[in-house]
Order: sequence, then C-alpha cells, then structure tokens
Amino acid sequence: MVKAEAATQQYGTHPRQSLNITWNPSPAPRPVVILITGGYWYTHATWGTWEKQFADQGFQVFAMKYRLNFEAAWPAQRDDVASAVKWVRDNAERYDADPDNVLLLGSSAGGQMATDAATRGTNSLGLKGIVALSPVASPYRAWQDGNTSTNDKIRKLRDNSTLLARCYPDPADNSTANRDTGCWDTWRDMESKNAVTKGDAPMLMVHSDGDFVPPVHSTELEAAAKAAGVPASNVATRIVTGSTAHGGSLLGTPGMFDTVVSWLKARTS
Amino acid sequence: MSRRARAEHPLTRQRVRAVAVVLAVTGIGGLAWTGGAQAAPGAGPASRSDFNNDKFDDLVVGVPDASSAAGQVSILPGSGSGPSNTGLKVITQSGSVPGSPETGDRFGADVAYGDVDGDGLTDLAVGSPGEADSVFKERGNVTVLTGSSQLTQGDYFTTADDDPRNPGKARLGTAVAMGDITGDGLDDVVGVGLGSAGSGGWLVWRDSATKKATTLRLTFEDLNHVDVAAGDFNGDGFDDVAVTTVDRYGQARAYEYPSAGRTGLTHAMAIQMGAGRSIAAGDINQDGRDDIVIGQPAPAETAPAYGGATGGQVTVKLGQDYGLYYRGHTTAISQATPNVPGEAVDGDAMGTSVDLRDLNGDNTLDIITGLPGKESTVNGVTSADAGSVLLLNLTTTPDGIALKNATGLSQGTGGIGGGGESGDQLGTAVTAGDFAGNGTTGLVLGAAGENNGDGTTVYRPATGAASFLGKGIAGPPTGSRLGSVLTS
Repeated sequence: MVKAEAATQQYGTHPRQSLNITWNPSPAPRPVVILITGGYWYTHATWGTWEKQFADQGFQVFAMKYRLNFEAAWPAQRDDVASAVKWVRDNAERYDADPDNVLLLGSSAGGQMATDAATRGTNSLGLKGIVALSPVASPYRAWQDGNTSTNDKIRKLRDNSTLLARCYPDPADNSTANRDTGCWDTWRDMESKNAVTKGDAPMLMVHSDGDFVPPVHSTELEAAAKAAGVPASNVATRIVTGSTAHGGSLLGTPGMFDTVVSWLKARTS
Repeated sequence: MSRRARAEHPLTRQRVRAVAVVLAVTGIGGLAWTGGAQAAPGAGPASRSDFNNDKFDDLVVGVPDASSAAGQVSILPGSGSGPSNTGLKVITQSGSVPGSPETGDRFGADVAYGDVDGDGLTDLAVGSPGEADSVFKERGNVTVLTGSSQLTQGDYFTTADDDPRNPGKARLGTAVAMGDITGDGLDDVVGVGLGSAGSGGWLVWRDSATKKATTLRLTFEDLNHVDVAAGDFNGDGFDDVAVTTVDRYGQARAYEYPSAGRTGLTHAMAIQMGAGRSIAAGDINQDGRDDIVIGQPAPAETAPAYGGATGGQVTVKLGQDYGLYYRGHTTAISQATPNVPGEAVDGDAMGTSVDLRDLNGDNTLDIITGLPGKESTVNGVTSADAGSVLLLNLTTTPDGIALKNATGLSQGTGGIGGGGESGDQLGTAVTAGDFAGNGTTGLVLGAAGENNGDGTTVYRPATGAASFLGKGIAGPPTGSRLGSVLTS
C-alpha cells in the first residue's frame, strides 16, 4: 500500500488561498474531490481524518481554505472556489488527478460555497457534482432565523452572514453609490436557489433533523432546482434523523460516509 | 453472464511479469502460495463447468421463474452429443441444499462456478435475490454448493445488517461471480443486489478461506439492472471485480472494485465508459490482463457522455496496468459497425446477454451476444421479438482489438431448426463450452419466450445441426422462461 503523500500549495497570493493535498500516486488519473471547510465564513474548521478517508476511497483530495468574511466580502469566497478549481485543473498531472472529473464537497459555510458553485451560471465550473453538508444555502434565512433564536450558533451565523454581505438586508436598500453591488442584491446573490438552472451540476445535500442549519436550506434549494428543470436524478437531500450532527460530523453518522462516497463515485465518468 | 472466461494459454511474458510484480510488492521470497504448482495468483487454470469430472463441460441452467418463482437450477452434463438429459441434476432449495423453496425466492437468478475449497472439484454459486429472512423481505442471498457433495450441500451468505441504508433490502444474488480475489488459490464468491425502497445497490464478497463476507455499498440509487464479473483486470495476479448497473432513473454506470491483494476488494472506481445491463470478463487479447465486454441493449440507458447505438451495442474495454477505470481502450460494436450483419432497429436489444469465448481458435476471445428483440422475416412472414444472436469474431491489433467478422444466428438459419415466432426472444442468454469433450466450442442460446413463456435453449455444436434442449430435457415446469440464465 502506497501511503498518501501530503502537500500544501497556494492557489492564490493571499495566505488563506491554500490547498492541502492528500493523494495517492496512480498509473492513471483519479477523480478529484475539493473539500471546502466551514466555520461561519469567519474561521476554518478542520477535516480531521476525512481527507485521508476520501483519498483511501480512490479520490485525489484537495482541501481548500479561502479568504474569510472579515478579510474579503462576498463574492471573494466564490472567486476563491473558482480559483482553486482552476489551480487543481492546471496542476492535475502533478497529483495523478483527472481534470475532467472534479467534484466539490463543502461543509456548512463551505456548503454554501459548494451549492453556489453548482448553481452559478450553468455549471460554469464544469463540475461533475457537489456534496454539501449542512449548507447555509440561504444566508438570508440564516439571518432571519438568528433574529428570533436564542441559540448562540444560530445568532452567530446571522452575524457572520451579515459580515459576509457587509450590510443589513433591507429590500429597500439596493444603492450602488457606495458599493459595487447593492446591499439587497448582494444578499440575493449569496442565495443559491436564486441561480438555479436546468444544467446545474448535480447536488447532494445532507443535514441532520436537529441541525442548527436546518434541512429547509436544502429542501428549498432542491425544490427550486426541480422547478427549474433539474432532473430528480441530479438533486437530492438526505436528512439524518434523531441527530444534531452538523457539517463534517455528518460524515460520521452511521452509513453516511459510504452514502456520500457512492454518490460521488456515480458522478465520475 | 458472469463466468470467468480466461482463455487457456501458456504462461505468457506478461503473466510472468505480473507474478514478479506481486512478489516484489508482497515481499514474499519464495513461491510459497498454498495449493502448489497451480496456485501462483491468477496464473492457475480457471475451473471448468465440469461438475462430474468427466472432461465434458456441463451446462448450468438457472430457472428463477420455475414453480411460482421459487426457482431451480438444472445441470445438464456434457456428452458426445452435447448437453444431455442423461444425468440431469435439478437443484432446488430442498433436501440438503440450504434454505427452502418459497414463492418469489428466485433461486437461480444467476449462477457462477469455480473452486472455493481447492479440492479440484468445481463448485457452484447460485443467487436468490428474492430470499426473505425473518426480518428482511428483500434481502436475497448467495448459496454456494460444493462439488464434493455433488452440489447437494453447501452454505450461503447475505448482507450485513448494520447500515442505515438497509442492506436488508439488497436483493442480493441478482447476479453472482467467482474469482480468486485474495490470490490464495481459492475462488472467492461475489454477489450483487439491485436494492429496493431506497436502499441503493449492494455488493457482498466472501473470502473462501475464512468464509468472511464483506458488505460494500455499490450505488446510491436503487437499480433496475445489475451484473457482475470477476477477472484480473490490472494483471497483478489478484482477481478484481467489475459491475455494470442501470439505476432507477435509467442511468447506466460501471464500477471496478480492484483487489488490494490478500485483504481483498477495496474501494470502487467508476469505469469511464458507457455501461449497460450485462457483463462478461476474459483476457480477449491475451496480454495477461483480463478485459470486459458490457452489453447495452437499451441505448437510452447509458451515461450521456458515451451514448448508445440504435438497437443496442456491446462495448469492450481492455484491462490496463491501472485496471479498467480510466477512459479509453474501448471498442463499441453495434449492427451499424461494418461487417456486422443485420439492420439496426430500435428495440433489437443487442447486448441483452454477452459472453466471451475463442470461437475460431485464433487465440483471441470472441463475443457472443443476444438480440432477443430482433424481428425475423421468413418467407415474407415477419415475427416481432423472434430474437437472434451475433457472433463477433475479434482480432488483436497493435492498439487494441478489432472486429474481424461477424455471423448472425436465428431460428431457421445457421443450422438451427424451427422458425422464429413472435416473442421467442432468442438471445435472452448465451453461453458456450466444450460440451462434446472433443476440444471444440459449442454454443447454447436461450429463447425464454418460446412457446408462450415455457422458454427453450438451443445447442449448436461447432459442426453439425443444432438441437433444442427444451423443458422436457432441461427439467423446468411450463411457463418458467427456460433460457433466461445460462452458464458453462
């Protein structure tokens, strides 16, 4: 057994724009999974052993970091995903990776970046599919939930969504006098369901029923995608019952890692 | 459907190299493989479908629809005149065979053979995808019957039951295969299941040395079709497993489970090719790495990037150092391919069944494939779904394989008697073997729709007239679609 060789590379000039690479040498290129970590857009959660576990399943794994909400406002995070995908494609040969089989797996805030990448344009990044674990697919919903909740995590998510947008979501406030994109349009732009089209990348979304980012973030996105003509085979939401698992920890719920892997495998062709 | 079709051939340069690689990787200093001379991994001769050890290949007939779909398996021993009623063995889940025959078990849904215990006698694996246990109604299982008991005794395995996606709904045994996955000289057994009620598809393989069964997730979605084959696709001396699937949305995908060596099957890789409903494995080009052919009878059921041909097609993929998963090294053959007889028509269903044999003695395996949806026109009378079979003779080229020539077979032509009637569906299953024990390869072709669903099989020897092996010879009751499942 050849052990995965880890390496860290920069995909951009900002210190946060890095990729931690876990890969196995292979006589033929293998599919790529780019992991997008969460952390309320204001910190980067770690993946624990999941990078290695995905590599053990035959993927070349690139765990990306990105500019945080206090360093750069939306859509810098979207741009970072695009830059990371491009870097992986440009350097695929060095890591026995297949540039034509690139998938994303994002968690929580990183899940929002994954659903954004899937829905932006008509699969403009040419992804084979994305998995989003507890995606904050609707930052505006997160903001609303935070207004009425006493749960610290939900309120923290509200405040960090605001930091990401750098303004208070007011439908009447859409001036571009002092910003490139009006405030309300920025909030609209962070919302994955506003960009769905028939040709989007396939999406699998996962929550627990006690998730502080509730499943409705994904079921609403799934409904919008289907209404836009995305076939049922290309969008699904799985809800783990009797659990409060969130983000990467969903992979540790019984059977979920195998479920996610089998979904990802079916997308590589 | 799922037999090992490794051609008999002398130790090639490539095979020697492959064995050397294994020794280097495992660090084993001497040739200490159990089982002695024949047991260098992957290099041993494949078992024959000769259950009574008389040097004639026997015909294995699965009849899952028999007796309210309780199912049965018939073994027709080979003889000077081919598969014979003399010595016919009819196996059901009764007597000393594990289980009991219950409505809907579908015992015989697929069959495979090999040597699981190293006694040199050929053992038989039988899938029962409808087998229920006290908890799970759609669990399915795989029964393994030993040659030493003359296929009257054995054991079975099924899925693990500790996964929330519910392997208890796996329908395990929809297809089965055997191969020496762990390289210990014993054939291991693989079963796959369609899944149901959102369980997704499942694969279970059992190490014959330890009897340990390992349950692996095959697909996210429930499946409409699944087939499996074993072979050493990367030439490392350990058999790997290839699976073709069509999911509930009609999306076709194939997967490779490489063997990691003594520890057996590892993760799956999606094979980057168009997939379909049937698969067979064998070393087509004799390079020491097994290859696969996948039958794609329904053109709509393939990955969009690969497409399909009107009337169906077969696609060959040649094993490489990395195995099968990466794109390339594929050759598709349809009725539109030059030198293939017949006009491609929607619904011909070419590729419903596939097998690999060297039909013309040129040391390259050839493809036998069924087109049960082919219409037949004899004396101006057209019969829908009469069915036909294509023999696709392949030749090895510097960069792969190519079609050398092709022959079409149907009832009323090619030495086959009778006449194609509407709904006969010749080609529901195909197999071949040395049934006459004289070194020639005879064909057995299934026509499961013959006589309003009684079904039949046609034995076509290498030379001479073909004969029918109907229910009176092969043993199943009326209406049980004889000719759906054939192996030899």
